[in-house]
Amino acid sequence: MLNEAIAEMAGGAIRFGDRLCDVIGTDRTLTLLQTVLQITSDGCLAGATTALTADRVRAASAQSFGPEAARRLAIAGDHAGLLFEIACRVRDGWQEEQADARRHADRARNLAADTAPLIARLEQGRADSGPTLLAAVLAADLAALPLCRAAARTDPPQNSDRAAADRLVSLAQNWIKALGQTGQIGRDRNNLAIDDFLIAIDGVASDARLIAALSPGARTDDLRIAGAAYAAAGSLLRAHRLQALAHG
Amino acid sequence: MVEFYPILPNAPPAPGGAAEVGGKAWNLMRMAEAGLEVPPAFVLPTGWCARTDPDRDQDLRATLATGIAGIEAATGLGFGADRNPLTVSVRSGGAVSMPGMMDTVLDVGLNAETVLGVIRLTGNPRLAWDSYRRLIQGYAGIVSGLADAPFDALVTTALAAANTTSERGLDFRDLRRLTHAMEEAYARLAGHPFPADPYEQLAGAAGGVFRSWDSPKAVSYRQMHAIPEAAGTAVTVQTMIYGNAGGESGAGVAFTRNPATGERKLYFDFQFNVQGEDVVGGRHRMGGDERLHRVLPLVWDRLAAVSVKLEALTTDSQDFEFTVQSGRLYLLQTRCAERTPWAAVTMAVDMVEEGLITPAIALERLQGIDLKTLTRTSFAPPIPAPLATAQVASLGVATGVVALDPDAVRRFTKAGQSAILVRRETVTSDIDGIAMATGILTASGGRTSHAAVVARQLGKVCLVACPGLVIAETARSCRIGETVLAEGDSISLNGDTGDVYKGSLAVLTERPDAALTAIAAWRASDKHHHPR
Repeated sequence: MLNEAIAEMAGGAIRFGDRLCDVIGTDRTLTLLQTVLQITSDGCLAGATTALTADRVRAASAQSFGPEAARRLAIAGDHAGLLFEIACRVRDGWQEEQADARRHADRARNLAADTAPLIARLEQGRADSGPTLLAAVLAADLAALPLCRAAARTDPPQNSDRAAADRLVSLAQNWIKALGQTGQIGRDRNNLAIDDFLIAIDGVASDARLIAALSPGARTDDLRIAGAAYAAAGSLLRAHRLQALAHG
Repeated sequence: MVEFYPILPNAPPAPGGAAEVGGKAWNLMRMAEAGLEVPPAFVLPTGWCARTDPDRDQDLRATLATGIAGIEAATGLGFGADRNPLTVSVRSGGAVSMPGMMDTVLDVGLNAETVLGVIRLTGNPRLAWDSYRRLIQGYAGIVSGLADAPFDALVTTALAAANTTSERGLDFRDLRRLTHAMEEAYARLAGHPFPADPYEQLAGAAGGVFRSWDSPKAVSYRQMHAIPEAAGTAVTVQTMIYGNAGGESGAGVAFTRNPATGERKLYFDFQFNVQGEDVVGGRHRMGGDERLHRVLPLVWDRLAAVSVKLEALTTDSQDFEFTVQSGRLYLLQTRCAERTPWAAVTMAVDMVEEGLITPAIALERLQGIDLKTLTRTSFAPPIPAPLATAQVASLGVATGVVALDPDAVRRFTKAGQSAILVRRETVTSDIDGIAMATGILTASGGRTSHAAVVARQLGKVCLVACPGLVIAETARSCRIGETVLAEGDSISLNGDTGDVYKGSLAVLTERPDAALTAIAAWRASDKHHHPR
């Protein structure tokens, strides 16, 4: 009954042989199993029909997995949050002395390592045709390496480098806004979320252009590469959403 | 009793003045009335504080709902909405300032849904989760009367788990986990879940802030300062503004005139994408005025106009805090600016010439300044090439030996040598060293950071945000660009230009003769018109 409910609610998010706790996390797995055992025990004791108990299990399972799209967006949001944190470490490290800058660089590297499990969880989803959320997130993920390289640089930063780092943080925030708004599209009657989404995507592109226009230098070059990765991600997400809208 | 006063553009201020709505709200009202950009707000007058009738709670809730509707209409934000959610601060404010004695609840309106709305609005998940956990923590103590210790322990645990010593070292995942842990702690200790309904939060917060008037520390402060018990506190409910919402956002502190020289020129520090506390704390390299001019020219122009308007409103030089959220400027508060004695004389003479104040008021403001000994110093030529040019935070020139901490300042001063305190940034515990040093040089901070403000108050030369200054505390040396200076080596600071020199330069002294002549003329005229 539980297998059926999970297959129905989670779609392609989980495959035969996957560990449930790897897909939805240990806490939610525990809660789900406790809830299902409670439902079935209560159902048996109360003489509930199998159909009613099955529906209750389906409902509990749906709460644990949530709508598949929302779950995937939440993972993408966490990935974007990690990139934002890395961008902040670059910016803050360039404001600090050498020892503190090293601390920020180490932290940036650790944060970048945490992006891999999120990508793995997204890859477990269905393989859509055309530009997908996964493709956009993978494109944005390419920003992590140049950002970590930038954080680890030891030559003294120039003011133009600091300006580029500020702008990169702004870009990372626009990426978070864009991902957040994409989940809101269709939820409000006035379709304001579509405009919010397009404004955020435009912010991603504008910030990337501003970074590209800054004078060259090793540090700014790293950020330019990161900005280009974000810009590509923005284009993919825009195409993904507009295509989805076109198909209703 | 009027139930509440809106603080909205062009709204008239309360007829009862600061006594009716508190000093802070009164200043906000005056700024709003003058058409200045104050975050939309409303204030519950002090009269609410004494109300004990049975309908009070119901009336308070109705009044808060009406006030919020006004803010929603003015901002386009929605209280409890998942798109562009409105969050508010709930602050105390008496007619007489009682610093730190009463309570404030910030970020009211956040819950599991609206916190996601704030992330979508600002793109800053760390800000959103940090705000939410601060709301739970503040609400637990101020409104629900829960002990601080369990919540402080959760913060300590989160810091240990993240292997950091400062809350600034927590990332958004740490803060999200901390928030959930605080929700659980609140439910366990209060016996009910943390209220998700924003209006429930607001009513609780307003009640808690009113109650803080009767807290033991507030009562003893009033007794010490002879503040009447019956005065009561007002409660201001104001839109939260986020300076860290992206590249077109930031926070700054400004002076309408240069607090070191008195020159009539807007003087401010601004940093993109930070909250106001980062500016005041001097945690970032400041001085983003040129960049602000380039990136947000309309905000830059508006600040200049605001400066003139504030002086016309208050007839004095102002020190004001502002935040820019997504390209929109907001003024958070204003107060009379601290200034050096030299600046006070210059400002008084200029303001009389501009017709802003009368000579009589100018003379009143100059009371307490010893005009006979007022001097300004500069370096005598020949002057070598500077090692670096930092930002001027406090006027004058100083020479002395490099001292890397307050203990070193004490040691050198005791041995009869002038010392210059060279620090990455100053902290409040450096106060003794600052007081004994002849000058202060810092690698970070801005002209309005704590180091700068304290140095100006003490009349010390102070240069901040020195480019290329790196301090090696273990080697007891510092480096400015390519030049290494050991502790005990001489340096010279020019507080007029911001230049830092190696070695000890000769000093010249000047007096504000033109200003002193004008002041003498006022005094003569005053005696002529009011002979004793």
